[in-house]
Amino acid sequence: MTKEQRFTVTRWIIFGLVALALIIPIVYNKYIKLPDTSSRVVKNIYDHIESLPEGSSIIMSIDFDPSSDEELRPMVMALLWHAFKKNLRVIGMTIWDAAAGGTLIDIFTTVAKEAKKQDGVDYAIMPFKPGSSAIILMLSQDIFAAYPQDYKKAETRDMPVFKGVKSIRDMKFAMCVSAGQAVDIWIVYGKEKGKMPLGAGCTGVMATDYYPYLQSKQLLGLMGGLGAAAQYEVLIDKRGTATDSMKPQTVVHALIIVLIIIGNIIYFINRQKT
Amino acid sequence: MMSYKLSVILTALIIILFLPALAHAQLTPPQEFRAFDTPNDDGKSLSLTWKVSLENDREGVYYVISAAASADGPWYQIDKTLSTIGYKSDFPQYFGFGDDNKLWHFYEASKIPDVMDPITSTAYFRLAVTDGTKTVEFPNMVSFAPQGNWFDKSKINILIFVIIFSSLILFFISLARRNPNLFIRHIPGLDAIEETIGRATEMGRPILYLNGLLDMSSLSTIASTSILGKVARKVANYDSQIKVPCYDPIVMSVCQEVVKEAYAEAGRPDAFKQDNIFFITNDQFAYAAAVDGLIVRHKPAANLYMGYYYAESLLIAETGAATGAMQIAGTDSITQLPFFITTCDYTLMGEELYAASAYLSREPLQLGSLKGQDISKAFIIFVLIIGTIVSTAESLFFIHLFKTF
Amino acid sequence: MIKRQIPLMIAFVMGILFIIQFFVPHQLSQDLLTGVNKWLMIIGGISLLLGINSLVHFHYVQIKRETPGWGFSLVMFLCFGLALVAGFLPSIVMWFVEPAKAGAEPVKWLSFIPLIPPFEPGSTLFWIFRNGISPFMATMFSMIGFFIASAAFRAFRARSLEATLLLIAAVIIMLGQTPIGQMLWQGIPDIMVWIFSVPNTAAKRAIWFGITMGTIAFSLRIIFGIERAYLGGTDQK
Repeated sequence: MTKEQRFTVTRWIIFGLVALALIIPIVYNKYIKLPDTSSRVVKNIYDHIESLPEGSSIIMSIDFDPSSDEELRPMVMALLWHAFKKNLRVIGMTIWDAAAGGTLIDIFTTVAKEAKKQDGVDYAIMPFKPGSSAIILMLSQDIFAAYPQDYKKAETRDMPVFKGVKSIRDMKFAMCVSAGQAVDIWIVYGKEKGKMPLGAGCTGVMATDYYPYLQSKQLLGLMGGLGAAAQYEVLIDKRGTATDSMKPQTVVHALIIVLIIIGNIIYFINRQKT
Repeated sequence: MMSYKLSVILTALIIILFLPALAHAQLTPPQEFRAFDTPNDDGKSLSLTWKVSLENDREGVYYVISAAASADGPWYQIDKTLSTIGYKSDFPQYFGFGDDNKLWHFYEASKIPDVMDPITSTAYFRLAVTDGTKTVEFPNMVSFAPQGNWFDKSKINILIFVIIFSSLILFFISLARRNPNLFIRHIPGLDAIEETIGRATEMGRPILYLNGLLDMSSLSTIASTSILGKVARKVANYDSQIKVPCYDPIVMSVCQEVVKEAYAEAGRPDAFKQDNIFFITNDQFAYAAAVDGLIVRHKPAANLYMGYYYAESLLIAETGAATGAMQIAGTDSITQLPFFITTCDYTLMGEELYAASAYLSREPLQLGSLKGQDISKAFIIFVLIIGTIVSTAESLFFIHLFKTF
Repeated sequence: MIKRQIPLMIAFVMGILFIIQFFVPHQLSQDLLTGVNKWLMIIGGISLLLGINSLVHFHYVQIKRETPGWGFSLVMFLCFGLALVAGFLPSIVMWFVEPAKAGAEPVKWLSFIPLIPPFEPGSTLFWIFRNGISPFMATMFSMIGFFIASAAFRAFRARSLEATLLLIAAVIIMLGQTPIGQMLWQGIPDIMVWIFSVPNTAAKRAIWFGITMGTIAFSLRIIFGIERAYLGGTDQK
C-alpha cells in the first residue's frame, strides 16, 4: 500500500468512526445519561436574567445564518424561554440579513407560542436594517428612530412592549448571539454607548475570541456553542435540543481524543523503528 | 412648664429628623444652565449643561428640556430625562476625564421634532425640573448656533501614535535607501514557494492560488494579490500553470491583471490564460464546495491559501491535504490559524502575510518598512511594561491616554 | 508609464485624504466618506456583471471542452437559470397583472406563480433559500466535524516540547467542553477557562499587535507607492 493510499484509507476509517459516533448517540439518545455541568460565565447570564424584576425590558440580537443554526438556535430558544418565564419584555432584532426571516422571526414566534406570549405586548420583532454599527449607535440614542415599525409594519411607539423605553440605555440587559462580527459591534457601540449589561453567545470555535472581554467586564457572561446552551437548559430546567445534541458531541470529542492518542502511539512506534 | 419644655424638645427633634426629607421635597431652579456647540461633531447638535443639584437629583424627579427655533417660540418639549442620569463625566470624548465633570449634567440636543431635525441653526432652550406635581423653571432661556468642527480632539491620542509609528517606518525606509543590506529573518513558508512551483512543474500539475474571502478593500487581499504577482512570475518562468478561483469579481479582475503582467515580465505573455483566473461565487460554502471540487478533479501539486478566511478554511485545506498537495497558507484570521497549521506544510501567521511581498521582492525600501515595523513593536512592548507598572500603582493616567472614542 | 503613475497617484491622494478624513468630524468630511462608500457600492454592483460573465464563460468552456466534471457545469447553468426565473418572474407577472387589476379579472393561467416579492416568506426564491441553500450550507458546515477528526489525528503529534504542550492543551479543552471533563475531574473546566483566558488571550493579543503594526506599515507602503505589485507586475521600480 502506497503512502497516499494509506492516507486515504485511514481518512475514510476516521470518517466512518465519526459517523458512527454521531449516529449511535442520536439513535439511542434516551439511553445515554450525561452529568449536568455548569460554568461561571454561562451562569452569570442566567443569574442576571433571574435577578431582573418582572416587566423589565431586554433586547436580543440574533445574528447568525442557517449554517450556524443548529449550533446557536438551542441557545437562543433557552434564553428566550427563560426571559418569557420571568415575564420580561423582549425586543428581538438582527443586524445580519440572512438571520432576518428564517431565524429571528421563526425562533421568536415558536418560543412565544409555547410560552403563550403576545406580539407587541410581551415581545416585538424588529425588521432587518442594513448598517450594523450605525443601527446599534442609533439604538443607544433613540430606539424609535432606528425601528419606527416592527417586522409586520406596526408602529413601535404604540406598542405596550416599548412602554418606558426610549433607547437601549433603558434596557436591563442586551444579549447578542452571533456567528460573525456582531458581538464585536455590540461591545464597541452597544455597550460603550448603551451602558447596559451585555451578554454574548457565539459558536464554540469563536468563544476564545471573547474571553478578554469578560476580564475587562465589557461582557457579563459568555455562551460558546452547544455546550453552553445545554448548561443553560439545565439551569432553566427545560432540557431540549442542546442537551440531546451534547450526547453525540461528547462521544465525538472522546473519539478525537482517542484518535490523537492512537496517532501518537503510531508516531512513537515509527520513531523507534527508524 | 416641664411639659412645655418637653414639647419644644420634641418639636426640635422632629424638625431635625425630618429636615432632610423636607429639604428633599423642595425643588430648586436648575443652576448655571448653558448652551454651546457640541465639540468634535459635524455641526448638527448643541450641548446643554447645568449644575448638579442635591435637592433635584433624586428618584422620581425629571428635567424637562424645551426648545424653539426662535426666542418667541413656539416651544416644544424635546425631552424629559431622569434627574439621576446624564453627566458630563459620561462623555469623556467631549469633556475629558476631569473630576469636576461629575458636577455637571449634560444633554445633547440634536433635533426639535417637526421644526428642525437635525439642529443646524440657532436654537433656543428652556430647562425645568419636575417631580410630577410641581415644576420649577430655570429663569432664563439659552441659545446657540451649532458649528461643524474641523478636528476631532478626542482622537488626538490616535493622531500622535499615527505620527510616531508612521515616522518610525518612514525613517527606516529612508535608511534602507542609504543602506540596502538589511537583515531579515527567514520565513520558511516563503522560502518554500520556489520549491512548490518546481515540484508542480516536475509533476505536470497546476498550482492553486486562493485570495481569501474578503474584497479588494481588505489589506489581506491586497497582500495576497501582491504575493500572487511574484508567484505567477515564477510559474511563468517554470512554464507551469496557475489556477485562481475567486470569491469576488473585483478581486478576479485585479488578479487577471496581476498575473497577465507577471507573465509579460517573465517574457512569456503568450502563455497567459485568462480563463485560469475565474469567478466562482460570493457564497462562503458554495465557494468552498467548488474549490474542493477543483482540488479533487485537477489534483494541484501545490495549494497556496493567502488572505482572510472563515470556517471554510479547514474544508478546503483538509481536502488539499488529502490529495497530497504541498500546501502553504498565509492569513491574518486568527481563529482559522490552528486549522491551517494542522493541515498545511507551512503557515504564514498574521503580519507575515503582509511582509511576504517585501520578503519575496527583497527590495530594500520594502524591507526598510519591515524594520520600522519591528522597532514600532519594540516601542509597544516598552509602553506595555510602563503601562502595567503605572496601572498596578492604581493610576488611571495610562488607561485614559489610550482610550479611543 | 501613465498606466502605472495614475493609479499610484490616486492611491496616494486618497490614502492621505482618508487619513485626514478620520480626524475631521465636519459635515463635508462625512459627505466625502458617504460619497466614496456609495461609489464603492455602485462599483461592487457593476462588478457582479464581470463575475457573472466570468462564471458563464468558464462553465461554457468546461462543457465545450468536456473537461473532467463538465456535468457539474451543466448543473450550474440549470440552477443559475432557475434562480433567475424565480427571482424575476413574479415581477414580470405583476407587470402584466397590475393593469388587469382594474377590471378585477385575475389572470388564471398565471395563478400558480406566487406574486410575492423575492426573498419574502412564501416567494419561490424564499422557498429555494429555506429548502435548498440552507440545508446545503448546514451540510458543508457540518463536514468540518469529520475533517477536524482526520486533521487532529495527523497533526497532533508530540514531536517537541511545544507540540506536546499544544497537544495537552487541546485535550483539556476538548474534555472541558463536554461533561466527560467534569466526570473525570472537577478541575478540568476551570483549567479550560484558564487556558482560554490567560495563555490563549496573551498569544492572540501578541498576534494582534503584529497584525496592527503590519497593517500600518503595509498601508504606508501602498500610500507612498513603495508597494505596487497589486497593480500588476512584480518590479518595484
